[in-house]
Amino acid sequence: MSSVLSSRSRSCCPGALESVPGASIAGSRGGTVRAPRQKIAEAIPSRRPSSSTSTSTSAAAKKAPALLLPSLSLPKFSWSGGRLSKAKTKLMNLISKSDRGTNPSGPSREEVEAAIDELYAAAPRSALFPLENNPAGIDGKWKLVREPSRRRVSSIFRGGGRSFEKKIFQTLLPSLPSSTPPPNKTNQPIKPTETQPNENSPGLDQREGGPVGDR
Amino acid sequence: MIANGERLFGVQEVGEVFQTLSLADDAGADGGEGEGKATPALVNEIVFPPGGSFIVYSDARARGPSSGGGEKETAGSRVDFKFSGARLDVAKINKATGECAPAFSLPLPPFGKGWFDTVVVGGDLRIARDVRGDTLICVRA
Repeated sequence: MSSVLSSRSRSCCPGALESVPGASIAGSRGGTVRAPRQKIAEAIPSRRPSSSTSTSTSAAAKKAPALLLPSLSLPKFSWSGGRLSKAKTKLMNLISKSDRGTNPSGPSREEVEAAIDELYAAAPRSALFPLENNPAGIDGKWKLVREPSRRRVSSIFRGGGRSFEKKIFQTLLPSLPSSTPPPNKTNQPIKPTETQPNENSPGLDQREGGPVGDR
Repeated sequence: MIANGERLFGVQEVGEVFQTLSLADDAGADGGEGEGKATPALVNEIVFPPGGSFIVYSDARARGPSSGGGEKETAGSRVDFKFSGARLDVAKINKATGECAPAFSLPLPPFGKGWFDTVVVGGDLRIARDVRGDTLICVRA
């Protein structure tokens, strides 16, 4: 009787189950009482490797949480990959609909910006285009079809404007003296500048390393 | 001022803008040591039709995944560049015939450096985000 009481008292504590060797315990009432550990073992196998059975040892039971960790991390990984793929597909669809600006019913600039933002934020940069594996993938001569000014869209997309010409020097060469028209001197001949290379000069140097969009 | 220099360029607006990248050599066997290279890895060219252009040369380097200093967004897809020189090619227009011929080139000092992330490359399309948050959409020239 004392052994039965001891088993029942231990069955109330999950930690004590590890010391119960049998799957059933003889009761004083003539029947068998299934230990709670067996119920747990029946519930776990679906999340364990096939080698795990209901007759797992205490050592295997201790390893169970570690075995579950990889399966818990999988949904997060697949979610990230799916989000990236979805964002890329969405952007490509928008671009294909634009027909390089010839389609008047193409995507608006807001739609394209939103798709690019979504793609950019979808994954670590290393997942976007891994240059270390294929640096030649972007090599070659490219034509800029979108004005590089912030948050503006090229005329290839519906709603594009002609401010590109006005913005180009401000964006590509903001620190050159000739990039900003001085007042009342717009048509002065260009003279060779005597300015020496100065990495501390204002312009791109000040922005390098700063947060994206911090202007 | 350059864009408004109609007398010099014979145009009233800026033409196409081209970017020429040659990163394969830079990230090759030399481990990305591109300093002092005779051939710049990144060239920005602004064309002034019919014959003028403004060219900015840069040293560029694809940033490896281990050089991001723990910043995950710098790994893999980022290209650092530093301007190494610039040149203004001025064209001379024959008003009688309308023909354009090179007049002179004006070297200019380099300014600045930065980086851009290649967001996506597909077919003839490339999209990049740069250090200032600008989005550049390019097609193969």
